[in-house]
Amino acid sequence: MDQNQVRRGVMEAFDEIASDVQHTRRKPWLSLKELEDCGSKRVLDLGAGTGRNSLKMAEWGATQVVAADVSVEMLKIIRETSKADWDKIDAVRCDAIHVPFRSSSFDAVSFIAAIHHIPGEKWRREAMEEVKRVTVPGGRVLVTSWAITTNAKGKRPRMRSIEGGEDGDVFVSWGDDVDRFYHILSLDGLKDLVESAGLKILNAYEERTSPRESGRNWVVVAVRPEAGQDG
Amino acid sequence: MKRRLLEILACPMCKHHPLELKVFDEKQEIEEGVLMCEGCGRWYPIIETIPHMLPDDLREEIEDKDFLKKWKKELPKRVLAKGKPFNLEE
Repeated sequence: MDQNQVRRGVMEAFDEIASDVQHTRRKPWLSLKELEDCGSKRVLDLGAGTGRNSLKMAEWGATQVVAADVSVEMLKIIRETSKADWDKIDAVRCDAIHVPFRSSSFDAVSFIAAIHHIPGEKWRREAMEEVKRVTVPGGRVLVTSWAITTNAKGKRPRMRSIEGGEDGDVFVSWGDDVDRFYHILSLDGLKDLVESAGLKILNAYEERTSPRESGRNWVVVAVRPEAGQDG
Repeated sequence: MKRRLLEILACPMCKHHPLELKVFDEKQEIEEGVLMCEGCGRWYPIIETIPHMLPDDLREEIEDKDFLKKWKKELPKRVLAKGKPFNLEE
């Protein structure tokens, strides 16, 4: 498996399905409430997609929400749909492994449903370190990843394993034509990534996006320790 | 792109800050322009208000060269001749 090709594939897949995502993934993530009291500050939504979480944080009173995503088509949707909130939102095209911001730029960072699209253990670690780097000491980080499961009818999403991939690597179909890369982490696996990056975990739990959906997710809430404290 | 973003934008590859901005078209915000890194010589396009801050391995050579050709008259010579990861001379 060529990791660079997979990264490019994720970018292209999300460009292709951007408007579908906009129509089917409208509600903000439930666990986003973990960042609610970080309002009235500068926040980063890394892997913003079509902006459902960015818009919510703007609504909560963040003064500046940087919506970052590798898919330019998704960022265009944020620009078109954010209307009055656009003056609070900055759209930036980037990936999560090479985050284009100064260190300690953000009072809070949401990294929601994104880390599972990064191929390669080494790169997922790099991404978490980038998340820590751009968060201010004392700032809060929310990380979620998809926990594979079945929906209420016992049906699994369509997926196939990947030759030469790591344990947990799968392609998951969106419609008939588009495959997206996922790496399925355990909750311990996600916690390990967060802790290894030097973030301190405040809370870790499972959440369901809705009873009907196949979406069961791991949630980790963490803080970047203040200088001088162990991380 | 809003100008305030310059306060936090850094080069995704070498993390240099600040980036140098050259604007080609500006209305309420910057519509088209380029961000240049003094640290490593890379450049990043701003297209339809969105800064494209991709790492080298996710960039498209053909699209990048088309951008350089489109704004040839506005771009500094060093970007056209030596800019990374793509330029029009090397």
